[in-house]
Amino acid sequence: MHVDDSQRAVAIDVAALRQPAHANLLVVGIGAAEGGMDAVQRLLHAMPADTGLAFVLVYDARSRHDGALAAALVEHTSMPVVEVTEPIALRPNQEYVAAPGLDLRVADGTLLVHEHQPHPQLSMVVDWFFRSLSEAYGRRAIGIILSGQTRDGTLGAQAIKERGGMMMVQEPETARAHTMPQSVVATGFADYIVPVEEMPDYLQTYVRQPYIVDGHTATLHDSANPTLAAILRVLRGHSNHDFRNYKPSTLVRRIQRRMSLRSIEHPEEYLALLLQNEQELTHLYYDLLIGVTRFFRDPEAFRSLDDLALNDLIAAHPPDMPLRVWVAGCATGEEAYSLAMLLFERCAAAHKHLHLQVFASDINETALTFARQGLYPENIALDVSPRRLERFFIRTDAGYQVTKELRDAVVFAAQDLTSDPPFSRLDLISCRNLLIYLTPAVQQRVIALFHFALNADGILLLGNAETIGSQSSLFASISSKWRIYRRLGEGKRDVASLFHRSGAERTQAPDSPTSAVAPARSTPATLVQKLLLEQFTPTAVLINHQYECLYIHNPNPFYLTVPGGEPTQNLIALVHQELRPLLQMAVVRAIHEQQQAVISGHVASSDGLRDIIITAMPINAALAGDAVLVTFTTQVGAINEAVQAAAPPDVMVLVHQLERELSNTRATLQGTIQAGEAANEKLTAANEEVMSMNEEFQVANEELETSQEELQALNEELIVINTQLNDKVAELEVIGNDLNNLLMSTNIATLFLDLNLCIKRFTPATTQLFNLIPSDVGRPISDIAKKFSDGGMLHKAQQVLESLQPSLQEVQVPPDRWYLERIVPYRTSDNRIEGVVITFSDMSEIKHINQALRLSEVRFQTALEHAPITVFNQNQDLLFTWIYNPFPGTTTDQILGRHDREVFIVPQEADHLIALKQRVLTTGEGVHDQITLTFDDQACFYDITIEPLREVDGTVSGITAATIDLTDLKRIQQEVAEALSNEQAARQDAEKATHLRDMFLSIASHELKTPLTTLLGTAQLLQRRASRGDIDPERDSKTLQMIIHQTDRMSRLIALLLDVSQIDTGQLIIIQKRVQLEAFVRRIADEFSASTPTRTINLERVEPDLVVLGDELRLEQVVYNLLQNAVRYSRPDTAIDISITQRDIEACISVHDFGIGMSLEAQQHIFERFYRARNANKINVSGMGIGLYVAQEIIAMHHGTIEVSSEEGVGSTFTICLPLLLENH
Amino acid sequence: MYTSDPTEHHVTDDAQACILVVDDRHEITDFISEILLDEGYTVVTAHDAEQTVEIITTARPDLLLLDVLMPQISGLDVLHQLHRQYPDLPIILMSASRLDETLLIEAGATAFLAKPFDMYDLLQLIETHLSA
Repeated sequence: MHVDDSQRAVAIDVAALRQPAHANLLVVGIGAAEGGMDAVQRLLHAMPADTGLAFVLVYDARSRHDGALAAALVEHTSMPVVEVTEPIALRPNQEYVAAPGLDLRVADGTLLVHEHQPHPQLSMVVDWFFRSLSEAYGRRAIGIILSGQTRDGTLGAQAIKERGGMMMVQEPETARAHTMPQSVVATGFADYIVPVEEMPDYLQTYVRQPYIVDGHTATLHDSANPTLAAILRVLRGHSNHDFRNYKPSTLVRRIQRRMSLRSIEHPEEYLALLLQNEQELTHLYYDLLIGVTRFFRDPEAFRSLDDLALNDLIAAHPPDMPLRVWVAGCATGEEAYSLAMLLFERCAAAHKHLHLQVFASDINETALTFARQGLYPENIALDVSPRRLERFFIRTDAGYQVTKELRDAVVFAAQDLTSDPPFSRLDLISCRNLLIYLTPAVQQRVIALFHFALNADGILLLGNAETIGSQSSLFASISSKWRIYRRLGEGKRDVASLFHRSGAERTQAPDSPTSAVAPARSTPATLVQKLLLEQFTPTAVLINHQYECLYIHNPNPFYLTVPGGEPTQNLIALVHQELRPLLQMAVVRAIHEQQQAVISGHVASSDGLRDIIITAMPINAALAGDAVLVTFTTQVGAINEAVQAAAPPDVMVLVHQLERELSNTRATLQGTIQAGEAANEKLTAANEEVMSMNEEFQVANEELETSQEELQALNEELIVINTQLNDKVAELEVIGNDLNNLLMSTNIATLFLDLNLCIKRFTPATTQLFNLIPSDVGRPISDIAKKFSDGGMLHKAQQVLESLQPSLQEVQVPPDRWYLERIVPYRTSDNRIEGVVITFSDMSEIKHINQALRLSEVRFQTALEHAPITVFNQNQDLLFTWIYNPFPGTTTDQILGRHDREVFIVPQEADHLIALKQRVLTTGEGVHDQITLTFDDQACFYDITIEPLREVDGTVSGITAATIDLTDLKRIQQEVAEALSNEQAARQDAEKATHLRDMFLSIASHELKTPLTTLLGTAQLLQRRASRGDIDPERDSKTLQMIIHQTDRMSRLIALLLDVSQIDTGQLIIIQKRVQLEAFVRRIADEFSASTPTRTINLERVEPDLVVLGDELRLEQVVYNLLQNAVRYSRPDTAIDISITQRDIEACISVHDFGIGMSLEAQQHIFERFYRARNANKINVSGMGIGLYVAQEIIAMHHGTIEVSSEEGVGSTFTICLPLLLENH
Repeated sequence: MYTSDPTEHHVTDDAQACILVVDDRHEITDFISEILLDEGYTVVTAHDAEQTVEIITTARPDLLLLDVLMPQISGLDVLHQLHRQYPDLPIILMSASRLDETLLIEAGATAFLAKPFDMYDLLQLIETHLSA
């Protein structure tokens, strides 16, 4: 809906806009920014639709609601709202706003659009528009400034005022954001400061004024107007400034404007108002003085000045002399600062350090105060280049502040150019746009004044519309376009002539242009004048009231003679004796009546009676003081005629008459003399009084002289002190700068409070904790909103003030910022307490790190506390500096500060450890090792890691080490290893046993099956033969013998297996009896030989009578087994040897064969159950591997031994040793 | 040399067949020889590998009755070697151990006889493989 409305409005008006611009249209520019939309709406709401004015709203782009601006206004005004997208002519009763993204200008009755180019720091859309408005509309321009946070509009307001327009400002207190209106109010450019709702009334009244409507200046049109003169007189009485020197047109325009603002039509009414209302008088005064300027106004002029004059000026300037500049009519100081900046830059460029003195003068004290502050709104960036802003200005919240360097170079003084003495010995004078306000005569005098004030070749810079007029002999033009002049001539004018004359000009209209006083020269004219004066003028004497001669002209000895005695200047003494009364009468009358007095008298002389006329003329000349000019003339011819005409016929009558006259005259004379004497007495008294006063004055004078000397001494002292103070100030400034920078750079919020806990100063960082703005200085801190929970800060501050004890506490700024609040008393250097300083150090990082550290510490402690881990540090001398979880049986105290040798008792352990640590210290590389340490006689195993401890610079300052107690682990490992090896051995044994058993079973089965096969086969053979009747007794007997043999063999095998079983179950029983070995062995040998007739058995050596205890059957089984083996493992053609020997207390039976023998390995295992030597298998000799096992078991049960010695391929010897039975016992 | 019993019907054409009996035990070779001689076969015996190879080369037996000695594998080796050399010679294996018959047949044995064996089984096997 909104969009539609605005589009319709646009559509309607675009058609109408092509019409020509309206003459005499008044245009109202409305400037607003933040918080201004509401004000604009209220203003338009209150504004009638038929004011006849054109309204242009300039809304700062930053706060512009794109696209919605026009729509937002449509509802609040009955005027059509035009959204401007292309240039259009302004028409009355319309409201114009810029389309989004566009800025407005106005020229020749047409609104122009420019693409909006946002400046990063500045808002200046209002300034730009107001400037164009003022240039296009002059006094018909009206500016309205509403709410806003920037200082945009201030420079624009200046421009509007300069060209006679009107400025209306929203009352700052009623604005949502008051910076923008406040800034305009502060400059004094606001004509009306009113709430928004009252603006339409004021506006309408103002625009109805005839002067505003058509420039009609009703009755005030020239300087001759008595009312104007009266107004100027009133002004002179008020301000002591004479505006008659100003051009009447300017004056009239500005007075008319004031009248319009006051809704007054007739000057007489306004005069009456001025007489009653001092405030209006002040307004008028300032309006008349309005000097609007800006930085680098007319940049071209500055460039020309720079190009054409400054370099020469600076180059030619003696380095030890200050460069003196006068800016006359400096207004708010921009011109002076601009020139100073330019000169600073030129000096720097020329590498010439000159002391720069810029005198800036104006009569407007308000403007001077502003200039002295040197604080300008941000939008001066329109006129000042960024480089200069950077170099010469300091950006503050309130705008741009000129630097101290720049400020110090400029001296501002109140001075009236037209009446006060000028500055002198200047190198450059800038007086721009001031002369235009002055009358031509005064302009000429001022130009002459500048000539006087400038040094030779000094530069004069005038405004665009100003010239040096007819005085071209004084200045030569350097740039005629930009009005730059160079002073001509060497000498100086008589300054007195300028000013005495000026006194006259103040009261009289100037009659002719001032010309230089020509020097006195002897020309024929003057000669003639002089001769005529001498010849034809009477004797004249200029006297004072005391008759002292001041000047004597054309002295005639008849009238004047020099009497004897002391020389005198008293005319009475000098004059002819008879003329004295006449002289006195004439002088007294002249003084009394203040007009020329003529007295005539007769004086007898050598050539008859002379008729003398004495003329006394009072003169009130400043130069001469109160004086009287006395002239003496003689009229010889006239006397005779008079005497003849007046003489009566009767001489006596004549004589009487003469005598009577004489008597009267005498009486008169007597009276006169008496009067003279009385006067003389009075004069004498007065004289005495004067004399005494003079004495007093002399005394006073002496005193004054003394005082003056004292003062001079004091002055000297003061100068010295001043120098010191200057040094101190400079020092303090440096300290101040340092402190400021320190406070800024530390980022520590710091708050200075006075005794009442009001804010004295704070650092920018403080805004993190308080909602502070610069203007809060002076407010009680209790009024300021805090961003953290108070924690009783005010109370603490009060306590600190009372106790003077600093206070510390932590405060939290939610959510997770922590500050250390420190309150200390503010002590001055003389130890007085003037408040408190509160600092807030940001300790969030520390706090967070602390928390993390504590958490980490707890984690590690908890983890380490119950772990067998010891952590320690040692310095370069290997003294313990820190330990956690000390070694078993030690405490931290026992270890700290000790050396390894003191802590580790066993020297080898300590040495090993020290060697490791030294290696780390020297190589700087960590080591990892396992060590043994003994505590309380118990060896403990440790895994140790040693790393170097490094300083920040990387040098090794010690070691840090961690040990892990592995003792328990090691023990368990050993146990496990043992168990494992045991288990493995057991398993190997078991496997071996299983293997042997399998072998045994296989062999046993084979061994048993062989006789079975034979038995079965043989039995079946017999059976088959018998069934066939094939019986052969011899043959069959042999066959049956084989069956018996095989059965016997089987039964022995089974017996042997039974023995093994009995051995295993412990059921083998030995029944011991006395055995005579020789008999025993011989019997066996015989029996064996019988059963094995193919083999030879030799009884080699037989020790007789050896008797042992034993089970004869079992022993026989053993020997039989050995013999069978001997037979089995040797070739049939070899013998078998048996011997019986005694070894100590044992009897031994050896069976020796010359068979295949056996390896050493086989000898070791030959007695094991189921073992069969490898070579035994080779020769396909069957056997179960249990015979020797059983033999060994049997011998062992006899407490004897069985052993074998053998060599492969040579033979084997088995020996049984049994304990001898000692029959004697 | 024994002459065969005329009543025995199967000892007719084959009576002259020569059989080599190999066993390390003399008692075994002895009684097998007696049985075979009774049946009219010509019998030669051997007690080790060397003898066996020598007799086969010289006597050219018609059938080999071979004892495999366990746990030695030499018997198998001998079998293998003989079979390669004399692929047409029937070999009947005897063993007191229980062996994998398949393995033995693969190695070249013609038949297997587990000890202790029935005399008639032996004769039946010999007759079968001689006539084959």
